[in-house]
Amino acid sequence: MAGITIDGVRKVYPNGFQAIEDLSLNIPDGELVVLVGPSGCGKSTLLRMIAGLETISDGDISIGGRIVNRLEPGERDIAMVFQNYALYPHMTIFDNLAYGLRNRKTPKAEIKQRVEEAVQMLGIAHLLDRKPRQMSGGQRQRVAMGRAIVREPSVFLFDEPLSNLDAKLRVQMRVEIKRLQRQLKTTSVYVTHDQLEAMTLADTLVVMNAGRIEQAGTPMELYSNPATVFVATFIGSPAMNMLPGIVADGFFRVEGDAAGIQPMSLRGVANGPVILGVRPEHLQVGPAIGAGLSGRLHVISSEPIGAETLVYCEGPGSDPLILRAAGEATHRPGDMVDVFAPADRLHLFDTETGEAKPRLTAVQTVMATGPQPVT
Amino acid sequence: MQTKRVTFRHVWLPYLLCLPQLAVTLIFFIWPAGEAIVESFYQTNAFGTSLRFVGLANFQRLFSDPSYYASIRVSVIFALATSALAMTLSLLFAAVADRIVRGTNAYRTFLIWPYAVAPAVAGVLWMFLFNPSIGIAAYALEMVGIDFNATISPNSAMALIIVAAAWKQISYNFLFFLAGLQAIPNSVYEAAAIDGAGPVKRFFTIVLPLLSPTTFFLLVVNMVYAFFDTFAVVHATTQGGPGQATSILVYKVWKDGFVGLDLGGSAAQSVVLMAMVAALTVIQFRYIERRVEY
Repeated sequence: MAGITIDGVRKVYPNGFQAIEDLSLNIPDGELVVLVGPSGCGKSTLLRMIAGLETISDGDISIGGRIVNRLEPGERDIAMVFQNYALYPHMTIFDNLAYGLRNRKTPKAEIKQRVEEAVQMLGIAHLLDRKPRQMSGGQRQRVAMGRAIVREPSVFLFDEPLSNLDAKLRVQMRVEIKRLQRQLKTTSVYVTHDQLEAMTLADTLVVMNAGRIEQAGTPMELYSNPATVFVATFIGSPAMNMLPGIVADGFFRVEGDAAGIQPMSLRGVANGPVILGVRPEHLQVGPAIGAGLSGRLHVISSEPIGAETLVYCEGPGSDPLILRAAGEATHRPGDMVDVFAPADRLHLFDTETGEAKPRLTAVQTVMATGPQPVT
Repeated sequence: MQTKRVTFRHVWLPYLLCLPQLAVTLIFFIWPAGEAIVESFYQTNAFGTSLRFVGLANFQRLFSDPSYYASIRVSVIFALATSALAMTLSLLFAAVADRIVRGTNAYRTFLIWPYAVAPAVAGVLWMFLFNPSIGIAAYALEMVGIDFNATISPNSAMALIIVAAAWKQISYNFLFFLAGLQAIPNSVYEAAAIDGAGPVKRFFTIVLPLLSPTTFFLLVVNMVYAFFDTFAVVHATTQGGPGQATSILVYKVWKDGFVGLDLGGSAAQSVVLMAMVAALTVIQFRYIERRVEY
C-alpha cells in the first residue's frame, strides 16, 4: 500500500511537443483517482509515466515515498490494465495470471493459491484452461483485472479499461472495479475520457486539458463548483449552457441578440465581459421564483428520453440553450417557454482566463422581471 | 478489403493478358517437368542417338547408389544449417531493427538489399572473401589460427556454401520476421515489462511463441530454398567439391545429367526432387494456411 506523489513532472517529446507541463498531484494511499479529459490532454501519458512506460523529462514521481523515475516498470510494484487487455494470447488464463508471479520467483503453491483467489473474486474460475481468444470481451477484461490483482501491487493503473466493452457490460464492470478497489484498498489511477465513468468511480476526479490539471477534487465538487469553463463544460451531460455577456451598471446582459433572456441584476461584479453558465438541470420551465436568470425562449426541438426530456431552445449565440424538463413534458418546436434558473445555481466565468468567479448569492441579484433599480 | 471488379469488353482479352505468364510457366516449368518424368523411364545411349525404355531401372539404380545417399546427407546438413543460420540472424536483425527509432527505413533498406543479388553473384562474392590467397575473410580467419580453404577442406567448402546461401536468404526472412514482430501489440510487451520480465525473458516467453506461425512458415520456405534453389551458389563456388563434399541434390542432378551425360539417371533424380517439393508444398498449405494457433 502506498500513495503516489507527482512533483513538477514534465513530458517533452523529442520533436518538441510538450505533452505534460509542470504537473503536480498527490494521490493518498488507498484512493481511486480518475484522470479524465479529451484525447490528447496528456492523461494517458501521465499514467504511462507512473507505470514507467514513458520516460520523465523533468520532475519526480514517487510511489510509497520512493522515487521511481529511473526504475523499470517491473520494479515499481505496480500493475496495469490496458484498454485492449494486452493478455498473452499464447497462454492459458492460469498462465496469464501466473506470469508476473513466476517472473518474481514466487513459490509454485503460492502462485496457485493466489491465482485461485483472484479468479474466485472475479467469477472466472471455470475459464482457467482457456486461451484469451476463446473468451468474450467481458471475460478478457476480467482476466486483465485478475492479472493485476494476483500481483498484489501497491498501485493499480487503469488505461481506459472499459472502452472496448458494450454499454451494458461497461456499467457492470464499472461497478465491479469500484467494488474490488474498495475491497482491496489499493491506490489506483484510472484514465478515461468518459465523464460518466469518471464521476461514478472517482474518489478524486482530476480533469486534465492540454497537459495541465484544470481541476482536482471530488466529483461533486467539480460538478458544483467547476473552476474553469473547461471543467464546467466537460463535467455533466448535456454540457453546461454558456452565455457570453457583459456586466454594466449593475446588470448582466447577454451579448448580441438576447433571444428572450432578460437582463439580470448583478451587484458586486466588476463591469466588463463575463460568461454566465447554467446547467440544463438547473434551468427550469416556469415563472421566475426569487432571484436569478429568467427569460422566454423559443423551442427548437425536444428529445424525450424517458425519465426526462431535453428541450433545445434558441439561444443568444449559435448554440442552443438546453434545459432538462420532466419526462412527461410536451414542448413542441415553435412553442415559447418561460425559463428560470435561481441565482445560486448560476456560474460566472472570466471571459479572458476562463476561470470561475465567486458563486453568486441571491442577495446579489433581484428578480430580473421586477422593476429595475434606480441608479 | 473490397477489390474493384474489372469487366472486360471482350471475352478473349483476359486470356490474352494471362498468356505471357502461362506461356512462361508452360515452356519453362510444365514442359521440362513432363520431359523429365518421361525421360526418367528411358536410357540414352552414349552418343545420344537412341532411347530405350527401361521402366523403373533408373530409380532402382539411383536408390542403390551410395553416392546418392551421400548427396542426400550433404543436402540435409546444408539445408538445416542454412535455414538455422539464415533464420537466427534474420530474427536477430529484425528484433534489433524493430527497436530502432531513428533511421528505420535506411536500416531496413540495407537489410533487404542482398535479396536482389543473383545467387551466382552472391556465391562468387563469398568465394572471393574466403579465397585462401586473396580473400579478406580467409585472411582474418588465418589470423585467429583457422585454416580456411574451401578447395581442399570439405568442412570449409560446406561452411562457405552455407554462409553464401544463408546470406541471401536473410533479407527475405528479415522482412517476414519484422512484419511478425510489428504485428505483436505494443501493450503486450508493456504488460510483460510490468509483470517484471526483462528484455531477454520477454523475447523468449512472449515474442518467440507469438512469432511461431512466422517461424514455421519461414522454416518451410528456407528448407525449400536450401534444397532446390541453391544450385547457382554451389556452381559458382565449390562445384560440388572437394570430392562430393558439397554436391547437394540439385547440383548432382545437373552434374550427372549434363557432365556425366546420364540423362535417364538425372531425370530420375529430378523426379525424386519434384516429389519432395510437392510434399513440402503440401505441408506448407496444410499447416500454414490454417495458421499455427496459440
